[in-house]
Amino acid sequence: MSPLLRGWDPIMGMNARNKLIAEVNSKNAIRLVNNKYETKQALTDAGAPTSPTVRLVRTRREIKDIDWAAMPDSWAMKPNQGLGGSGIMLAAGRQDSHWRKVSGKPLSQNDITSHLARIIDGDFSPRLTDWALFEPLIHAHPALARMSFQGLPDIRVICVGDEPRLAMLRLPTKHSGGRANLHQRAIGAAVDLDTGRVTKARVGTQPIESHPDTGYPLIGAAVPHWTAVLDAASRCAAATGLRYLGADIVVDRTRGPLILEVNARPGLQIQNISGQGLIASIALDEGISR
Amino acid sequence: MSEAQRVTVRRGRLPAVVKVVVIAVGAAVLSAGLLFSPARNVIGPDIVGEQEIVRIIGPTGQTTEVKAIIDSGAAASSMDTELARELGFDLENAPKVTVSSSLGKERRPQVQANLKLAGHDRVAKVNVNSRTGRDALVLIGRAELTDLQVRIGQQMLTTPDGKASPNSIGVLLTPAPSIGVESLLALLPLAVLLMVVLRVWIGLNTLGTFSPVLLALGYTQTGLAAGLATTFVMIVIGFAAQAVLHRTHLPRVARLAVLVGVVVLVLLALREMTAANGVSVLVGSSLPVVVTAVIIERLWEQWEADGLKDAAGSAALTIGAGIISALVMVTPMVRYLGETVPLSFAAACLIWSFVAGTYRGLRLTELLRFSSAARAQEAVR
Repeated sequence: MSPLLRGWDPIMGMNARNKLIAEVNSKNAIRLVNNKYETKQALTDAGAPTSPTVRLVRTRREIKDIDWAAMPDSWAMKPNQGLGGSGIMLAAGRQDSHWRKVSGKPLSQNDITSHLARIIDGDFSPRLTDWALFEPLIHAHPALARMSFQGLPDIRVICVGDEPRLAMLRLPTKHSGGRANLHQRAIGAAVDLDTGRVTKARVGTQPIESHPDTGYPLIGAAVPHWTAVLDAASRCAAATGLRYLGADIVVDRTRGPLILEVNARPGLQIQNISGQGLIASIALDEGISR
Repeated sequence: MSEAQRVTVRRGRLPAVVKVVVIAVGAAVLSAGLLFSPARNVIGPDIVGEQEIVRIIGPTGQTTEVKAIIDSGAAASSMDTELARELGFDLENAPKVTVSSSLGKERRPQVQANLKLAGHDRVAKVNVNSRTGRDALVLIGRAELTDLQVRIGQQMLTTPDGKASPNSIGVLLTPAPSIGVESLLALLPLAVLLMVVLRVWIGLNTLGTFSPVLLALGYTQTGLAAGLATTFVMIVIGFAAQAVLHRTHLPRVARLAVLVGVVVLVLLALREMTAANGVSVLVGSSLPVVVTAVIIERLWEQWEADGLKDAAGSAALTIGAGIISALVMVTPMVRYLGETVPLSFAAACLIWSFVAGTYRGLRLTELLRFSSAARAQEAVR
């Protein structure tokens, strides 16, 4: 058979991924990582770095009890069980008695309260109700901020057990509106596991060498604190009980690498970014014993 | 990463790409085989349902084929005034007869028409009156049903020539074919099997897993023209409503409830508007209301997340899958199997759904999605 047709063999499709996840990731572990608050607790207990929860809001009644003066000067408000980064509200600083958005525009107390109510009503969650949690706002490390257009770049590390196997950097673009979402045309950049440097990058299906909005050269750029990033990723399996996972890690300018989220069902797009098939990378036959 | 852990992938005998192409082609051949299976009668010759296509030949040789209600409770056949004029009958000089119906006693013109129903030629005395607002323009009474057996609860069993049932396109192009829901029950497992194949083998995702099947059930009742028009109007108006609803900060359950209400209002309004021409009597009751509301909401979410193009693509795919499921369900061969061996047929489809679900290889669309990764893998080999 022509070797030309063999390029597909190491590629993992949706069907193979679903089977793998059903086999190796336990229901309890999946339930845990769908709950941001509990995941962060578990990560902290396992000594993995993550952004602490400064306030948890469980019911509409608790909204009134929030002591806004005690809040950090900048924060992120998230639905506890939100999907795909939806329902997040950011405050970048205080302005008189009000808050300020990342864009600099004022953020009224009214907006915050009604958004909190929407989160608690389950508007952004697969459940009927949800909790809202506040975290101190993460400020991207300057080395990463230089590589992206606004927003918060993050690093996706695919791990088999405690071993990182593939990594990519997701950089927001003007088009992605500050979101590190490949689907919305954020940049996906393959990161070499050994060196922590970008080897190739693309937007959508288009290979690129530099950031389309800023012109900043991406190939060869280094992810700061790379060993600490990999160390954080490698702690996720023990903390959550997942055996195949995608860790989303950000690098804060003062706090260093922080685990943002652990995915029990990491996407397959990383294969196009890295040019490596997941079946080959995770070494399905030996890496994960069944 | 240590060398020992980077093992090479065990190679299948067939390259993954060949496997998925073979499977997709196989699925296409099987569905085409079903869709284009030889014409046949759903139950047998000389058996008609409560609604059939009948051929009427006018005095000048003008011919038409229309849907007729088969009513063994009526003594004589009857046809719509407008239709009779079009066929060239001279109503002004026709003899008048007294007809008693649910409307009371009435004097109606009577014409002599050549009919063909289920392969039987009839010369029928047909009384003529306005049938606007009725489900069909023609009613066939007892007088024309000799040598024929009427199956209650069945519809569209045969064509005028009597050798075969109408093909699936013919059924769906008939206004309000109203295929009996009981007959469709045994065919549901086939329709859901199609959805499994569409997702797991082909890799196309519709708005809602089984929403195309529910749309398809609706289309087998309303016919394609009324069904598609209704779906379109419901989605457009529902979408406009969702745009307004989205700005209010209502909880999701309330938003969906309002959306269901809007869809129902649209259906009711459409029914009021179409009641006059008798074409879409069934539109109101047949299309899945709650599912449509969910489709609208998913469409909205996808529009917000992925943009108009992707959302429109998903909507077209959902409706397209609905049309294909409807076509497959009313294919004469499929209906025949559903009527004669319903249990075994449903069981076979169920088993095939399971088998189709065990496929772990690439999906057809993933060949496109991961082509650049595959090329990169090619290069390192």
